[in-house]
Amino acid sequence: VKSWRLIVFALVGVAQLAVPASLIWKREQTLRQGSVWKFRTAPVDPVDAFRGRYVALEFEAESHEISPPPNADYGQTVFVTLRPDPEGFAEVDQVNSSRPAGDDFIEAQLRGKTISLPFDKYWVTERDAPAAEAAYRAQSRRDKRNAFATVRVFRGDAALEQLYLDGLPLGEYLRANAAPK
Amino acid sequence: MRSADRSGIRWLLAELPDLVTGGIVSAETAEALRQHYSSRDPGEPRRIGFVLSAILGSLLVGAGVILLVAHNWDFLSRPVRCAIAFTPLVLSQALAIFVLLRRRESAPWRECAAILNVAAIGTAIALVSQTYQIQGDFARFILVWMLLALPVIYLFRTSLGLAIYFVGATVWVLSSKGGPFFGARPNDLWVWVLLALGVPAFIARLRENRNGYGTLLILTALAVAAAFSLGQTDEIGARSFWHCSFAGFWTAVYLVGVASFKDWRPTRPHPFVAAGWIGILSLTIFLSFRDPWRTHQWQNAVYLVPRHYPDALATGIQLAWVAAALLFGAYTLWKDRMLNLAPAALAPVALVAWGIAKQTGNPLTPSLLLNFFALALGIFTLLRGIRASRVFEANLGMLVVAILAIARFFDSDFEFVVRGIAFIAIGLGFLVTNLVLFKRKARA
Repeated sequence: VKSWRLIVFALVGVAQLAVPASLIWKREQTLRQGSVWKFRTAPVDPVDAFRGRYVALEFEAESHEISPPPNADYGQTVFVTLRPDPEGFAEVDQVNSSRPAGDDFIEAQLRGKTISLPFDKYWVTERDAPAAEAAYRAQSRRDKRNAFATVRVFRGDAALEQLYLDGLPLGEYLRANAAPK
Repeated sequence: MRSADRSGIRWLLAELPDLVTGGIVSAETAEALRQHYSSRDPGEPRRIGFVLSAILGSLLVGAGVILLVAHNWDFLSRPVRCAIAFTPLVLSQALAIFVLLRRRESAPWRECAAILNVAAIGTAIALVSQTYQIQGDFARFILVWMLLALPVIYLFRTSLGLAIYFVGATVWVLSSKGGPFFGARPNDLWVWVLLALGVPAFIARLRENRNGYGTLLILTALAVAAAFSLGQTDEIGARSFWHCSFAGFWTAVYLVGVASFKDWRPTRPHPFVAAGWIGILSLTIFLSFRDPWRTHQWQNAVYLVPRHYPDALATGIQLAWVAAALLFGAYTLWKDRMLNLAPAALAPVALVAWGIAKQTGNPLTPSLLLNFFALALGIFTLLRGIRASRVFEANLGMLVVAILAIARFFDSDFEFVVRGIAFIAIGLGFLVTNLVLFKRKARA
């Protein structure tokens, strides 16, 4: 009687470990083998509230109208292929309701005539969060668009790699522009 | 022995010396009573205290560790962060195995091990997600977490864990906003499956300790989860039918309290009786206004024969709640005529009112029906209280009438004189009822 509980719990325990482990595995694959795309951030709504431990990101690619696949529902998962624009930033190429061939596509949510990318938060430490949010906002103003994020893309998964402000990774930018105390 | 009898026992033991000096019981009888009850010292209070302090202690230790790690989080490399994410999970699993092997009969150990394990699952997934900037949606995170927790809840027979599971299911159904059905998604209906998966565990707790506080906690969590899930289902199914489905829900809550937990405590009714009264009364008063029946959606949003999968299923669930309330009510009426089942009549009354509103599109008749129901409920309860000399029940009946009167004060076109007279009449009713009842009690 005792042993069946142990066996069941052993299986459950393996499942508990497998879930976070599979997250790590999938993400490591993407980070190692994925192709790098640069996404330009969209102008930030200045009233948008401060979000705590992450910077809330918005991307230009999310505001461009796309041609959705036929018979697609609002909020449905779609597969998006990308192409570079003249300046080298990522643009939506095609939106399909089935998986395209190759490795270079991401899964996204359909929002009517636009898509919502599966990454919109950039986690930072509690200490850096306010400065990061302010810097991101300053660099994403309508007249001064100097923020972008690099994303690794591999078989539907999109791994947010780094947030760049004014050409520098977020950490370096904050260090370079730290207000003297 | 039921834990709630303890206060009664303490009272009895304190009364014994007076009873002996008053010559009501003999010294031997008093001693026998004392022996009988003190030998049955229940383990319950110590157990609850131990469970609580064990949980609190482990939470404090856990929080301290999290603080220390969080402080140095920036300086840690990705593999170290992942190792830290897995540490609590592995430790909690080790504790769980120890409890399964050595402390399987101890409820505090089981509760503790299960809670720590369930918390560690969520922590591990969240920390890994944060380390790798994995966004996934929150609803899916909760769903995976709860499904991983479910077997632990069964293995460890934990009450708190099961309550947390039901709360998690609620969070899941509420966090999946932005779908095509007025914000709800067809997938939200799976919440009923999630809830059903926890029900066998609940039944096992019920068999084990029907009147314990752990069972009450689970029952409350289940009721809250069912309420939110029903609200979400109403969005997907026949929207205006929420009048009836929630009448069914509150009726079921009341009936569970009044009929399923009849022997909850010797002197007090089950908390669900009070919750049911509050819910039934609020809904009745709300529906006694004309506005909730004045809707443009009778024609296009209400199809009793819906067209395809999500709304057909959702409407089926709505109807099932009404049917369950009606059947439960009928069964209770057949089994035990001593209970006050008048509040449970809300389910059929709301159903009839909804049918009239749907047929005629006129908000007056259904609102009048609900007014009559409220009035009848108040008077019935009042008379029942007077007949049985129960002051509380009589006043409850008066209260129903008074609330109804106040509600009508806001929207009726009666003259101020009429309203004034109505209030004087109700106030006098209160005074006279209480006077009569207290006099009768004093005489008895």
